[in-house]
Amino acid sequence: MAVLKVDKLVKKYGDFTAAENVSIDVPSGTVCTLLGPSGCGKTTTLRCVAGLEQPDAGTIELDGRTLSAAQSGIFVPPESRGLGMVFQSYALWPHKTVFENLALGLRIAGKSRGEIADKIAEVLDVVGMEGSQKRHPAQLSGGQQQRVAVARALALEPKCLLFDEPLSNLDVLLRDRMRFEIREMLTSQAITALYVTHDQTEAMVISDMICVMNRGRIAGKGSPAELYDRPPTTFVAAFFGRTNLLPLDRAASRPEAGVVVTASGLALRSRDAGRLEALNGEASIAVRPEAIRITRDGQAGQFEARVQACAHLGPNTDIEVEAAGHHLSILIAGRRAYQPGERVHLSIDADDVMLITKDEA
Amino acid sequence: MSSVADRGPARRARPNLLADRLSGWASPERWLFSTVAFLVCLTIIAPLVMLLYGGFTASPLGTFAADFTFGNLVDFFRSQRYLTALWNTMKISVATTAIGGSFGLLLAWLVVRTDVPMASGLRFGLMAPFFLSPVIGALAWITLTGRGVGPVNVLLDALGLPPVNLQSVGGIIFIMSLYYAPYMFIFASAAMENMDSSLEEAGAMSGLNRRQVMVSITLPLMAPAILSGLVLTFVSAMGQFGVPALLGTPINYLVMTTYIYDLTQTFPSRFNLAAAFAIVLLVACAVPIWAQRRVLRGRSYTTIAGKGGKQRPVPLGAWRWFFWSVVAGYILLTAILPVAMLAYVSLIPLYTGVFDVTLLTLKNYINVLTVNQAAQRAVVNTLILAVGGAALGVATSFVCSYITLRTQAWYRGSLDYIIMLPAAVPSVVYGIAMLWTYVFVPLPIYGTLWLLLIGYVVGFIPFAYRAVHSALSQIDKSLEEAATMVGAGWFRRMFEITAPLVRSGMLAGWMLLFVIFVRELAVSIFLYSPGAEVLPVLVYNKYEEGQYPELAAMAMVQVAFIAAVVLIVARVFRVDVTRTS
Repeated sequence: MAVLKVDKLVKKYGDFTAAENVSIDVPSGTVCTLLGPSGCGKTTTLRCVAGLEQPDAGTIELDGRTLSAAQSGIFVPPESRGLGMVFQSYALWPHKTVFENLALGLRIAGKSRGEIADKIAEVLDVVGMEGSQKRHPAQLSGGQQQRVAVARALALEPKCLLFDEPLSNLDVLLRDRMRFEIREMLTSQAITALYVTHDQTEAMVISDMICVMNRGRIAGKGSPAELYDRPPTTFVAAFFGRTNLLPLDRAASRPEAGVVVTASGLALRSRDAGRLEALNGEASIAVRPEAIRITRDGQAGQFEARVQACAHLGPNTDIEVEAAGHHLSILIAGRRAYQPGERVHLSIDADDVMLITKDEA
Repeated sequence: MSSVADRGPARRARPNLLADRLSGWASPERWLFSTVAFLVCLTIIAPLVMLLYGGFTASPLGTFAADFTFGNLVDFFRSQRYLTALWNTMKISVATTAIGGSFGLLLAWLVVRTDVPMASGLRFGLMAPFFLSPVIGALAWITLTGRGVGPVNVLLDALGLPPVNLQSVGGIIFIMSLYYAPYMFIFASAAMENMDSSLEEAGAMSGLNRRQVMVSITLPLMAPAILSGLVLTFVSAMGQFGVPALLGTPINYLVMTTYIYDLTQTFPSRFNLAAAFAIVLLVACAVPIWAQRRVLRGRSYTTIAGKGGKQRPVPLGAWRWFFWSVVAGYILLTAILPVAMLAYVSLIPLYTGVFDVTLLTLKNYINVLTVNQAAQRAVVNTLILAVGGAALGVATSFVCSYITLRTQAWYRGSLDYIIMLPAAVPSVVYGIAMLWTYVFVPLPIYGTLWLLLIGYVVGFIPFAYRAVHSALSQIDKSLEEAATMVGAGWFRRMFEITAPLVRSGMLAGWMLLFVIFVRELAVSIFLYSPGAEVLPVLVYNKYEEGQYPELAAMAMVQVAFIAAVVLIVARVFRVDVTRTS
């Protein structure tokens, strides 16, 4: 059962619609991520759930209780919603110690002094900050402040935790590590969470379910694997990992043979060829860079390409090629050197050739 | 690791539809916001409306009739004497702005941009004349230059020079220039400090020499701040009441402010004409402010608001100590010498010019603090008004800053504008306008301390609002949202988070109001009444009676209050008092 339920949420700022018909269900104990570029409405949606913004339409329910229903005039103020939130800037109160930062909410909830001290020790332990009660936020590193901010949200045992780009102020190395720590903490505590980020790697590590947002709407949702393997639209495919998008020639394609053809006549076997008839609107052929195999000697089923550039990215090699008038990016494991202008042969499994509809607008 | 979630929710959010339905709009802070905003706008605007009524009616103060007339204004513009007062006001204000403004600019440049010795100490000292005020400065200088007995004239006589007579146009301009220089200093020094020095360095890299950088880069960048400082000095000088009252009125040299007071004091009092005078003065002040806004409209301050960065001080070389003595001499003339003289006069029985330590006595202080009942009341009243009025002003400023910065209230733009309106209204104008207003208010506040309290807070709230507003605008909104998310309602959030974070802004605003209220004369002289006296008014009365020793004792009490509060705020609470206004 969904603990958090957002239904047809709309939020406008004047003429600008920041969130349009956003619907999300977050089942108990799972992490749902809102992913998208800046200005896509993900933070607006999160702030509407928190109660920091008042929606113009739609409903928000938490555990069966209506938090916000624009049509019937219900709006529970944020302080009465029983949600926890971790802010992008951490928002630790600089004039209070770690203990006081965590104690405020517990005091408001009417806990005794003993309960407060026990609870604070417990949640600081959960985030790996035990013994830091007496320190001030300014004495902590960015990563430590982040942990205290999470502990502050955890201390009140909220039904749902909200994260607003919590890792974007950390340096790259720390961010990589904190992703796994947050994921491990959320799953081990069976916490229900709504998480906002613009970083797709972060979203893949953290989430059970991802909603990719674009221009105020949800462009696609699913598990990280589903979205990566079967992106519903070109926007999702492009935002969620790198993708080669090739224009499709519908008339030349032969669904019955399992073959799709690009605008310049390159024929590829595709798992989605059978769906060709069912696809509405403009469609593209999409191939992930790592799904393309590259060899120097030609074999059956391959097509020719010419290398344009080749770069080592540490563990991987990035090769840019031109094939039948199309530009393709190829990512292969390990270090291999190709010379610009070199002739190579490419092959792609039918299972890696996807058909995706183009987003409207 | 223990599981947090499986022990059940700490705050059991039971569905309570009615409460959820009501909670959206029944939040108590919204009522506070609209009430405060309404009262602030009403108390600021109502006197100005009533002033217009008073100026354009023939019916006397306290009566109400719809007899609109231009008669009062026509009287004003037909009478040579009245126009002379306007001309005198203009003359004094222009001279004060030119002399005080350029001197303030020089002081700011010396202290902020050069290697003048002991700059931070000088900087603190430069705030002394600002806190002392022109009125206390004028009182002290009167004793310094008393005919035949003042030490300055004794010294001049010994040097074979003619004595100075402060009771003259030159005397008024001298005192006002000395004590208004800090206004320009405050504006210019802030702008110089915040200047993005990379802009000047870019000029130097383009081949400009130091003088060319100054003329073609630094000065144009500072132009908005300099213009603001000039306009503030000019408008303040136009509204200055105390100095011309002390130095001009005795020789029948009247300016607009003193004429307004005179019209209400001499029989038969002419309150309608006084209101017309006030309207003319108000318009005369509004013109330069309006012009300033027009000129600065669309001008970007971003280069000025840059992060500052390190600026290499300009080396003064052999002139270092010369310029040090210029600044130190200014502090000596405006703060040290006047206060020392006031202290001395307050300790002698009769002001004769004879210096004799055996004569020193505490009799004047004993008189003020224990014998003279009016003076005792005045000390207590002044303290109550200064402490309470400043607290009320800061609390109001806090709520109003919150409304304008953090809420979406439909009236927040108007509130932001209206609350700054009194900055453009001379205190004397508010004084007479308050008379015209509260004579009609059916509450028992006319002739009580409450009237003074309202007059003080309304007249000077822009000072506190500016301090609190700028402090609050620097606090990240998410700190407060984080408190919301742990269940804190508005009052709790303010008490636990927001108010402590803007503490130094509120202290600075409180200090400024306290200092202003302790020496406030222009509003007080219209609104005080027997039983509700305040120190500045009694000092003024003593001056008219010529009782200098007792006057000096009362002025010293004011100086002591001001010094104590400034030092406590600066040292105990570590607020930088040189950057408060």
